[in-house]
Amino acid sequence: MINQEKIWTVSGFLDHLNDFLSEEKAIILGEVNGLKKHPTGLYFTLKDKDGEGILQCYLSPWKFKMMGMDLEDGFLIRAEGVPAIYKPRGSFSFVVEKAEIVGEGSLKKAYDILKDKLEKEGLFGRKRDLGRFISRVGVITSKSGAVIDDFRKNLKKLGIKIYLYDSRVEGAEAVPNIVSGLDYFNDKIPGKIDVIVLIRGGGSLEDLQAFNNEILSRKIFASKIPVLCGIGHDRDVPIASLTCDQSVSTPSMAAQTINASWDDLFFGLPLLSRRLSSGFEALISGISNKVDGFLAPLMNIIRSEIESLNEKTEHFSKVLSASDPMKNLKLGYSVVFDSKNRVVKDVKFLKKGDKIKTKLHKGSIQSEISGILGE
Amino acid sequence: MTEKKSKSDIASDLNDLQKIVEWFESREDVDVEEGLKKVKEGSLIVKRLRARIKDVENDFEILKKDLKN
Repeated sequence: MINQEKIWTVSGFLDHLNDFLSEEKAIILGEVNGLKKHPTGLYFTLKDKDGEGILQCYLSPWKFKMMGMDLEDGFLIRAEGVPAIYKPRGSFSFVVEKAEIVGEGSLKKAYDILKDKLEKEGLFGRKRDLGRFISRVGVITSKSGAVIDDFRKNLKKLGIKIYLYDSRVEGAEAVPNIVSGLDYFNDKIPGKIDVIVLIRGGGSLEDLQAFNNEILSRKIFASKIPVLCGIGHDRDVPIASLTCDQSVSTPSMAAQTINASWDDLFFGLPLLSRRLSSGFEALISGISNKVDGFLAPLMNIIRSEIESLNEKTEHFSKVLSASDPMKNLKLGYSVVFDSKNRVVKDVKFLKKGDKIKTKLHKGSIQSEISGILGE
Repeated sequence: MTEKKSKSDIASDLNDLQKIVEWFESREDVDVEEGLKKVKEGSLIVKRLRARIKDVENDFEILKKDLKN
């Protein structure tokens, strides 16, 4: 029943209606038509594919930027917002708070537009080296699910410090979460991170929408720390993967990429160790050769001394041989010894009755002196 | 507890080892004293680096929401 006493002004009535409408938050799925991009915002209508109704919509420039993807006529979108009446014109419209492109066709087109735009700007051309011996890793992904487990399982046990920034990787919260993670690892975490790893399992273009987002791509490009993406995908490489410094197609391959940063140590160390041994062996062998060089002249001197000694020995041997008393015994001489076995050279040392021994060439005889004959 | 070497320490150790190996490989004159000193130094580096690639559990930390903001 109408209140007869309440008379509204036009503005007051519109404010009253807007208060009422602001409670009617809604999510609407519709196709974009009549899109006009203006500095004050985007103006378009949403309509059903098969139906007569149309809904005037407004999207602020800031909210549009947050979408991270361009819009075109014909795109199917999921718009979340509130209805309102625009007072200066008295026109009814739907004020879009969040918009997401849905449907493979629209997403593919939006993907191509964004890819083309960022490629022209050179965002896909800068590839930094991830560095060697990666020891501190900042991971951005969901803490629940198999992805983080796959990543950890495939990472070699090298005492690597892994920080996980728990983030949504799908849906409206995904982009703000991932962007916050990049900010955190770049500016807020104590100590420097070697690499930021952004990982997610595979999915359709719709599932991976967060990774085909302009805001996220620009954030990755602006990261001071190299970014490694391991995002599963079917046909189209996610734009985040195109922008980052190195990309692989699975979380486990991201772990293997980090492992590979240690290859110089795993494969280089045994090689250097062998070369060090060989170098040292060569040094020892050089010393040995050198010693041989010093010894050779010394050995010659010793050899010559020995030869000289041999010659002298032979000479003495000849001299001794010539004066051998046995030689004279052979000629018929004999040698006489007294009882004390002394050689007798003079008869004055003997007397009658002494026993003497006479040595002949062959044998000896014992005899007793019967008389001294004199000289 | 084995002290973990930072990535720059590892790179520096590898670089030093490379230099020692090259010293041996470029020598024509044998300097025994210097050679022994170098091989000892090289062996210590090899030992340090081998210890670094032995199995050491990774350290995993989930950042708390209040730390993140």
